Amino acid sequence: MKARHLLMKVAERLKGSKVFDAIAYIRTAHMNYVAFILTVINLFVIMKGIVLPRFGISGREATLVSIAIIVVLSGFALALGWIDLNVGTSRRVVEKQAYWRKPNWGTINHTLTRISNLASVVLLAQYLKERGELDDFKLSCLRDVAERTVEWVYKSFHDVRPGISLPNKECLKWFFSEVGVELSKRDLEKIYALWKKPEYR
Amino acid sequence: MLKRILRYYVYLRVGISNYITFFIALFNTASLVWYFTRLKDIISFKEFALLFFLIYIPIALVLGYYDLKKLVAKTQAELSPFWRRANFISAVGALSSIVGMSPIVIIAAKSVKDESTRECLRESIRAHLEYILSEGNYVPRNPCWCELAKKMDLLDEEHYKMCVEVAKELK
Repeated sequence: MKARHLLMKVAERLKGSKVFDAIAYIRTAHMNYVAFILTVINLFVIMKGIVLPRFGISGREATLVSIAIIVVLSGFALALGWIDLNVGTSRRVVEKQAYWRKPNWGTINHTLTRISNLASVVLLAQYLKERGELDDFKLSCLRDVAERTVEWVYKSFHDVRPGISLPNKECLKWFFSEVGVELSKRDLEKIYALWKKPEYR
Repeated sequence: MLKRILRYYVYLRVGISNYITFFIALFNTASLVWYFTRLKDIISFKEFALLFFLIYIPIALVLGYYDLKKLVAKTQAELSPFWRRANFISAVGALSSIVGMSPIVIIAAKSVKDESTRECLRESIRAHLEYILSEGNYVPRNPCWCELAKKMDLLDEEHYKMCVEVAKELK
């Protein structure tokens, strides 16, 4: 518990640090350009200095053969890359990932009205008010969602670990009943169990 | 021209990292295991490579499957900074600083009579249009839904301040 507290304090201090911005830019530049150029140079040096001399090729000939190998490999990699992004590994890794099918945090929490968007909450409140159907219970349920939504957005940008409260079971039942879907006790228990899972908390 | 070069560069790097260096790394692993253990005294590299891939490939297939579905790859997705956090677009969406045009929005606009609510909705739809047409350069800073929510007693003072602050400072 103390370690976690300490970690939070350190993270809190580092939150707005521009050093991370700089590292993010430098890392991107390094990974996308410098490291790649170094790899090409490495390949050239290894080919020219180690591999080709073993096959009896050296000097100017080794330089030309090394360049030719790099050009052929590049062409091959270019074609492979195009295939890969369209039908290959890059695409498959995304499609085979668990959350390709499994709902993510946002889907679970939006669908089960733990958070919503402010406009829809206000519009519903306005609609119910104009029809004389906005009683204290419904108002408190809508307030609950509106406040949780604002808290979620605010904490997303200001807190190290954003966390939001769970909705009221009766409110959840009411939201669903407004569109003619009756939630059973078992449904509610399942929804709450889902919310308590670490990935959806 | 630059866009085309960048696209080719990305294809090239994907091809290299996902295939060429990957297969070289696999070959390196097999040759290192063979060379630095006593295996090189017992079997030839050809025999070892065949045995290595016969054992390695099925294990890696099963491990990879479980990794994507239940292990590291899944956990990595859950630990992404924006797994449970709003990013720019979900934040402006949640605070409704922008509202995307949809048939449901038309139904909402038609069913509410209050003029200030309708005006706020129009403002948010215009903001969404401007956001799209500017390709993200326009940053909506529209707290009208915060104000309406406060007026309708949907937000207390503390949440109202949070709402306005975050709606105005998003970048």
